[in-house]
Amino acid sequence: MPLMHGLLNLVMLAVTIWCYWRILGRAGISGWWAYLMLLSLAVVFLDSFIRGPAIVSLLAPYIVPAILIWVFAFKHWPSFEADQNADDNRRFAQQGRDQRDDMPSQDPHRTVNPSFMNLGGPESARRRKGKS
Amino acid sequence: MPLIVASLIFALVVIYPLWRICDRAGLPKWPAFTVFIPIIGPPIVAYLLAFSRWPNHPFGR
Repeated sequence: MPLMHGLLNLVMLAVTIWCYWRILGRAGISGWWAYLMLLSLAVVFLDSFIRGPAIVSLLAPYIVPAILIWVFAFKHWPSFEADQNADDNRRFAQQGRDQRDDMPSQDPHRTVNPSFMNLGGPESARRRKGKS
Repeated sequence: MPLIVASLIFALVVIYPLWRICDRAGLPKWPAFTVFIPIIGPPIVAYLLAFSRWPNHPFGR
């Protein structure tokens, strides 16, 4: 009977994580945050392992979802700030310039191996010629 | 009995944010109250939020 109860709880947890994943995805937030629900499972496991107070096992499954729900309700939802009339690649334009197509060497915050800085220049052409 | 009391405390704590989430999503507010059903209430709310269309969603999802 306890095994059945534990299995039912696991199935319920899996379904809840799946639902939270979808909800977070719709709001434009990474669905991986839903896996924070596993924290409550870990707390219950540890509490039963060290034979801690029963109240911890009783309340742990409620505390993490309650915190998640409160944070989610008051956090900004990136999907809701997107421009629905814009082109697919420009929907989040107001959140900053799209830098996906920039060369890494154009970004001052990234370090680039100096040997890759002038790829395509006369020096690299000479090297390629020398190798072949 | 303790489980039901814990469920009710949880429901009281999360009813307001759930209300707000439904409001932001453009859904009716009544799903927030299903959280008062012990044990199966919270999964029902999560299911409704996850699989119903959100009228306020910019892409109509």
